[in-house]
Amino acid sequence: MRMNARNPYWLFLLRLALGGVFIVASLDKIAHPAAFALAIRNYQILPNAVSNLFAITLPWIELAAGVLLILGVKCRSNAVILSGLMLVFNVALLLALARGLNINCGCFDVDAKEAINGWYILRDLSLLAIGVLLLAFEQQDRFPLIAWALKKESL
Amino acid sequence: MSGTFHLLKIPFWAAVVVFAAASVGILVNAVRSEGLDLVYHPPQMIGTGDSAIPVIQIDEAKKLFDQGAVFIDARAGNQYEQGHICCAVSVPLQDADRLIPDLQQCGLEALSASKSTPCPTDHVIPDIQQRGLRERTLVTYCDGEACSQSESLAKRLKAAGFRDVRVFQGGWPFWLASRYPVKGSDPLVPCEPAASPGAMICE
Repeated sequence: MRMNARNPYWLFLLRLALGGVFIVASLDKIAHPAAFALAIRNYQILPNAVSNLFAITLPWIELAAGVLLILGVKCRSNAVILSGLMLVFNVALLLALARGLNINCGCFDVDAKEAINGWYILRDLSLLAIGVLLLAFEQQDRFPLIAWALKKESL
Repeated sequence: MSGTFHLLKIPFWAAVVVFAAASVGILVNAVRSEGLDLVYHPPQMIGTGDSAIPVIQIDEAKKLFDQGAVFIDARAGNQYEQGHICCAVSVPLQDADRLIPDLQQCGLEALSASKSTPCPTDHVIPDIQQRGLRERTLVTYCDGEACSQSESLAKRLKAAGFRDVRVFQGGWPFWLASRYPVKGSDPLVPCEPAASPGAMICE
């Protein structure tokens, strides 16, 4: 097996990491839409009126793109979605930090008591980097999970 | 297959996933019992009848600020020290039992009641004592929309006989983000006199 950026096993690990993070992040938001809507409003970026719509739809987009990325369905499209989300989240965090807002992230635990800080930016940038790597190197859809289940070598 | 078409397929399928997932979210929201309204409407009132307390948003809060309303900071004392709305009084919710009677006394019987009773609110402008705090517009706030101290404090002020109490939903972070006058130990926007006549002026 070649150890380079296009190594399918390495790319699959990246997919597991990025997809997994988004799946985990979506679950608490799906369970508590009102709390997530509140977290969105606290950022004061979107008009308050649309906070509910975002809270209702965004977690499902995270979940769907995360699952499809891991399964290997339309990998690059889902990498685009997740990278786009990471970019948006990063800008929101930066704006909130720049304005000195003492708010919770609303990222994993929508009721978290901890306020946002610089480490959140670092974390989000790492995830964004994974998304960009996948976009650049995962040229075709691969199905290692399905291949493993069928005990076939598809890679 | 041309290269251009191949590249267009990426955003196309991304859009399909986003649309489909968003639709699922809206469907699930429609059937679940704790589903939200698709468009968010801020609450207008807490409670009903005589004890109802209006909930105001940032625009209304600024208007009342310019008109000289008394802002009451319900957060902890150290948060108040770090930064607060210009001229706000600190009444941390945990000290409300002690401070509300003081506020009543300082505001109504004014300074004549007892010189020995220290007024906890020495940064309140004298005008408040003269006009009677009970009759003035009091606006409580705390740290963001999720905090509940402002609401609890407003209920207790209302119960203590203050006539016009309102809750500024959003509170400190919204005020700060709008760059309205603030004061505190952190270097923030300097506390400036409000523009309109009759408005409060910080010490």
